[in-house]
Amino acid sequence: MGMGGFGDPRPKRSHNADKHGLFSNASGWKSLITFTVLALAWISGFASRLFAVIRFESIIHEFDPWFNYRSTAYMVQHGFYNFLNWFDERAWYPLGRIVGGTVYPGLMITSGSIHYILHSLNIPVNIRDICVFLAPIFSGLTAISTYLLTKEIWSSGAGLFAACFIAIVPGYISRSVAGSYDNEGIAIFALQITYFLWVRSVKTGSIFWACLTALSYFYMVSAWGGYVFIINLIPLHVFVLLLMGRYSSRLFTSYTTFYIMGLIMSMQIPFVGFQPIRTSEHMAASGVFALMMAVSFLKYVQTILTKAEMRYFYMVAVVGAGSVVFFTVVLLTYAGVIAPWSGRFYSLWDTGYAKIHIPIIASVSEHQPTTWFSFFFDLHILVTTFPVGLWYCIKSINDERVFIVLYAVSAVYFAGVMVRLMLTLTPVVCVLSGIAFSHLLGLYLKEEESPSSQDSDSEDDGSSDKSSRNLYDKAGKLRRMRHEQMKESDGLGSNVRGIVVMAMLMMLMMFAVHCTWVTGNAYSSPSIVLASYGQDGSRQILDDFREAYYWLSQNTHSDARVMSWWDYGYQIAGMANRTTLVDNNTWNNSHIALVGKAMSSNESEAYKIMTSLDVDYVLVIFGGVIGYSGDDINKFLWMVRIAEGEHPKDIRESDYFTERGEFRVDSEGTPTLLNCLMYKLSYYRFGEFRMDYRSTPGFDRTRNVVIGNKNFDLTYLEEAYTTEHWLVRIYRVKKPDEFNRPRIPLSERKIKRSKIFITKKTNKRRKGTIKNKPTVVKGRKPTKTA
Amino acid sequence: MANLSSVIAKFYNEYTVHTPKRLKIIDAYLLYVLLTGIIQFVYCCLVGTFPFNSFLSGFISTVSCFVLGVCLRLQVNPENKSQFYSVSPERAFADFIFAHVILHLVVMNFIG
Amino acid sequence: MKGLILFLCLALTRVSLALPATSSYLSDSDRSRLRQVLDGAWDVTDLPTIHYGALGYKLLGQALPKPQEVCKFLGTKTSETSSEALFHLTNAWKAIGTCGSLPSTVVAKRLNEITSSDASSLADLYYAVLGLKALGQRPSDTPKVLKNIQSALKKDDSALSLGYAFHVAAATGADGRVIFDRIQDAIAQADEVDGRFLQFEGGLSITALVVSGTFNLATSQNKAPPMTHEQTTKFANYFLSRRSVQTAKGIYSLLDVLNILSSNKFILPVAVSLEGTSAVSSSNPKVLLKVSDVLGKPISTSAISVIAESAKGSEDVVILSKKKFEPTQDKTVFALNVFEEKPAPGQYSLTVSATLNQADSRIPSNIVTTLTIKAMCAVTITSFEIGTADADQTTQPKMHKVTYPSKLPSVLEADSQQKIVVRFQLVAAGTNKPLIVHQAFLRLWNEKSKQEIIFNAERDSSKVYKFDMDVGAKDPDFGFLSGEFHVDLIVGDAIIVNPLMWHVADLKLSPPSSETKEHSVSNHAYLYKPKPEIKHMFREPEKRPAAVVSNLFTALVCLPLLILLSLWAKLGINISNFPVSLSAVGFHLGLTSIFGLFVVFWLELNMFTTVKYLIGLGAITFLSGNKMLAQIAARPKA
Repeated sequence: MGMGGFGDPRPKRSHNADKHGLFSNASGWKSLITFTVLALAWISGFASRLFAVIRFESIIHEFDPWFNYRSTAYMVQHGFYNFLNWFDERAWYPLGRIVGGTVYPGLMITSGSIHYILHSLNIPVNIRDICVFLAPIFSGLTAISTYLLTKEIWSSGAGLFAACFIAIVPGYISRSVAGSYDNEGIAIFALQITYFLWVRSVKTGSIFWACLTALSYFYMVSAWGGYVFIINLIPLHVFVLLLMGRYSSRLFTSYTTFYIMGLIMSMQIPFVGFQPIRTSEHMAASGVFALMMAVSFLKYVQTILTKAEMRYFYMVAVVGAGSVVFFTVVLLTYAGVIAPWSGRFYSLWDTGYAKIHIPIIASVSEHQPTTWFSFFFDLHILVTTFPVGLWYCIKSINDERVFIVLYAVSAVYFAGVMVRLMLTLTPVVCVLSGIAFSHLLGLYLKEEESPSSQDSDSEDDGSSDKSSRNLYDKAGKLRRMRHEQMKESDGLGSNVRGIVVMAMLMMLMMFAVHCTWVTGNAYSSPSIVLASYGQDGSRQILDDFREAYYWLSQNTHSDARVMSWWDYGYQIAGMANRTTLVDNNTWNNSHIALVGKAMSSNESEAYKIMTSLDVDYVLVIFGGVIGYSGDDINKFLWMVRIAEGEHPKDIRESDYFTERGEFRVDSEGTPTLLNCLMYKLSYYRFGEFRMDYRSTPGFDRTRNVVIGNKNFDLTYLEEAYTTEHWLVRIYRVKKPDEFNRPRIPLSERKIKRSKIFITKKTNKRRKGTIKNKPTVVKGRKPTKTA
Repeated sequence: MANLSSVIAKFYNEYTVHTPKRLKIIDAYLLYVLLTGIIQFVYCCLVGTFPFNSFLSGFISTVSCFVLGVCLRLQVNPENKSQFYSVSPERAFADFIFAHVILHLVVMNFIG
Repeated sequence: MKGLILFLCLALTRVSLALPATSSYLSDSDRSRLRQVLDGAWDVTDLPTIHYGALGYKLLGQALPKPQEVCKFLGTKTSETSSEALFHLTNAWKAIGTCGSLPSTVVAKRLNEITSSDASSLADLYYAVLGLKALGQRPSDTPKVLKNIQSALKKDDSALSLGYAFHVAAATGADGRVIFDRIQDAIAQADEVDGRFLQFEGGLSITALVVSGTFNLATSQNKAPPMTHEQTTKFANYFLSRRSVQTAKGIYSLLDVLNILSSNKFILPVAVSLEGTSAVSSSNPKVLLKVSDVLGKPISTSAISVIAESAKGSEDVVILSKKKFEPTQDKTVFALNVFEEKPAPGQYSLTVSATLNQADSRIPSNIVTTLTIKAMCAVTITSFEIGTADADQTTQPKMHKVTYPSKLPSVLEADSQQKIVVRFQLVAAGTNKPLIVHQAFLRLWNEKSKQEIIFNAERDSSKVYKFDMDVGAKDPDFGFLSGEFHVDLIVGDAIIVNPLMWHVADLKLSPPSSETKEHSVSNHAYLYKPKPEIKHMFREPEKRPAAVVSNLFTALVCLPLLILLSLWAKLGINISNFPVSLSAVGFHLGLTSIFGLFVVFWLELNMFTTVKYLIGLGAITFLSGNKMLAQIAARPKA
């Protein structure tokens, strides 16, 4: 039902450009160059995301992707509707998890439909390969949508810059390398295309574009929880435009259509459900919707009534409507109809909130506030150029640029709050930097100025294409460029121009080098397979995780329950196909706290918990042998904190610190720590272990100490498997008849009794002895007489 | 009060005289949708919203019809021609139909 | 048989450490039992069984069953060459004695070959020499045999080897004295158990082999074996403890060695045992004592005087001293009336000394031993009271007196707020002294459910038995059952002649409160049952409004449609302008069918099929709509 047939909604400016173009078929050149640059951006973006596949293998990375992969495989195998109704009894034992209702299905649907299409074309591709390569492919689409967005906002030259930036910027690559099969990989594409369509629909005021915006918003909702960003940013944009007095019927058309269709579509996702009309996060949008209706009604009335009448009417209407809306929202929130803001949402405003109230959120490293270093690390030169682009946008503001300014400001704030939200900042940084570079180059390359000044800002395509291609080609030659807007640039000498242009090119080159380096070194580790480098530079692959998971899948009963810290839940489920107690979908804090309590209690207490949870195996990650810092002992304090949150009587964080407030595992560590289950499981038999004959036994390379409690035995567990580098250690929980039984109080003993009940004598209770035990005096051997 | 009633009376006069017939047709449609929505709302207040998704889909469907109708009216209105230079009335109508098709697909999915 | 063994074991009651006498002897019942064992094991086709069986029957003084068949079988075995087979053959032949003459020359020749061979082991030598002995011959080269034995003993001087050596030496007559010195070595190897038994590792057959060899050798040398009387008694004790032996060879060994121990010239173990029951009571006041050898025969022709030195009860109460036992008609049995002393019921250790009037070198002059007897009495129940009281003891219990053996006429009733109280005292009949019994129970028994609950009655310091049962607290034991229960008193002890079970009263328990029941049922009664299945509860659908209301609102929703149509009519819609073209018709049809499709989707289709159809319909509608609108746009604005 596309409306394309009804004439191109593009502004007439492009037609003008055609008329005034230097080349007879300038638009043909332009589209060829555009196409080439975008294709190159796509390819280079795709290629630089393949480090992990080339260095290691085509494998799903990290933690969450394993779950996504597992559910995708389930969906492909059982069909979409079964997937929505999937109750996964292998996770969150004994609770289980309703996967269909607690997951954003967009990712699975995307790869599922790619799989379906390829298979109906008789191209047999394994679903795993689709999953591995989905994020790199979508990064190309992101580049294109970024191009479109930037073009709408500024010019297609800036768009090409932005597309090239987004293709290789580390802040985005960090979430979209091959194998990183996660929601963010497609969500950034959805985000960008939604913003593009939104800007386009604001520009045209067409219902069609607004519908497409809503559709793409729907895709975003289905893909990532970050859709809340959109549903707040767009109303904010509208609201700010209203404040600026920029109301127009176009705005009304696009926003109301987008909102109402987006609302009903977003409710189609089971995980989102009725949240859009119930939670406070979504209320801003509906408030703006109501405001929009009111304003448009007033405007309509205005066309008919006189000014004086209007003022009167206005007062009544505004005060009335405003107070009604306000009190309704307050009342509904108070009555509990609208849910208050969720914890994660609060932590966006108050960075200390999570640390105090929700340790489980604070425990994740990507929820920490961002450091300056990581801004530079992820964005490099763009950090400095993006304020420039922002300034240009503010200087020549219009409806769309208001949007990009708001986007930039809010994204900067959120990125500062949480490392993870760096991801939402990255696209806007690329857009604005693209604008800045395009503008600057336009300014300084204008030596062969065009004879006539055009109104076309799309003319600078060629130059910016080439400069962006220079990122890869390293061509040093100057490019020709016309730009009409900056008339004051006439005074610059050619030397200055040359130096500035060269400097900019150098910066871009360094940016490209930096991006490649960061991608190769920081973001391409699957974290399942580790690599270590010897002194001669040789690479050694440590495949302990998969070794352990494979052992689990081969040597344990298929219903065995494996307890581990929640980080490894998805991997155990995905690779070993065993039941887990907790996993990375941290929906049940008390269950996680129970596991944390088991890990931080002593062995017998832990055994009680493990028995009550039916645990068969316990899996811990131990990096002390190879110096792997992400192991469970280093995460241990979070386990203690989370456990303390739910069981403050049994677990106290202070018990695990020395008197001087240090967390140490050597002989000065607290006895509570040295006897807790996690310590014992990590260091069992480690006291006898020495790296080579010179080192002391029991030397932990991660923490660089000799451990404090060396020789101990396990009563309730036995070591089942330890991988080659001791990275993963698996223990089996013994059954009650397998160890020296704990003393059970008499009242709790379960002795099978017959119906006959006999009281015991209360006086003269004696311990039993064997009566008449024979005492034997052995006979002697005769002494040999010669 | 008198002020208000006079305003309303004037408003009515203005409307009947100056509004094109096309727009009046759309306004009739809008009134219809508005009434339907009000009846649904009354129903939910009186009886309850039990199959919440059904109620929501019905109610949102009327709201969106209304919104889309308003949009159509805005785009078709010759007075707004300056704002919608790229949208002809026919184009607006086609968009309107397109939006309806998508909307009701979703509504049907949601109504259960 | 089992019961008998049990009895025999019990008969070996405690004996003091000094062991001048065994406390038992091979009684007639033992003999008959051994014979039964032999009968069961008798097998006419097995040489060792025939051999030992025949000797066993002979020692028991019984005739051999089926002698003809045995002789026939033995006749087929004369060509055997192994020493063991020949040993069994010759000895069996000799033991049976009715099989005619043996082809002795052949056998003897073969046996002599073995005796003179250097390669023969001790066992071979033993078999060969004793085989020859059974033929009435001696080995042709006795010194050689003895030399072989000595060299073999150098290699292996275990008890078994020594036993063989003793037998061989005994069979060689006077030449065997070189071996006699080894007796001491052999005896030293015996293990002492509990200070009562001496035995060799390997059990009855080896011990019997060594002991009989020792005595045979001593007899052949005519020298007393280097053993004390106490050692011999301990050996005898051991042999007597093995009266339960089940194999033919064991029976033979036992009988043979006991025979030797009761008839040798050097040492005679004496058995002092209680004849009959060890319990005395007013009806059976006499203790009977038997003094005999290990086979139950008189030890000496001379008279014996037996004196009860003392009898000690618990807490060292001495009830008699220096009482002389009266001789009875049986020469070995002596009697004493213990009950003259009026012993309190209980166990007593009785120290007895027996003296031979005429000294015998084989027997110590004074044999002192200690035996356990018990004095029994009848028990009577006095002042039995039963009643109920409040569990919190706010009121005095209401007690009913009951006398044995009658039953409380009324039925007791109690609920979970109350407790049952029972008081009674046990006294010995005759003396009326309070008695403490080993077992005093109260049993509650439900006739219908056959359920029984047994409680202990406990006594206080004044020897009054008490029993309190808090009904509420004991509910779990009853499985929360209510109903009528029999109350039975059970009294039992080893020193009571009349253990009793007395149906005292009937008790009616009213049902416990449901709250405690539920709570505790989960603790106990359902502990071993499968837990109830957890069923998933779906949320109850909310109540839907009445059909009338729904229909009314459906009608109401349709109402605006009429308004719309009427308004349109009023405005004057111009349908006549409808462009009759393919595209217009296609567009409207397409649109209609799309909405029709949505209705079908709502009713039955799923998302994917709908989208599939929608694409097709949408394409048609789009194309025709595009064309139609283009036409309209092209039309001059009228």
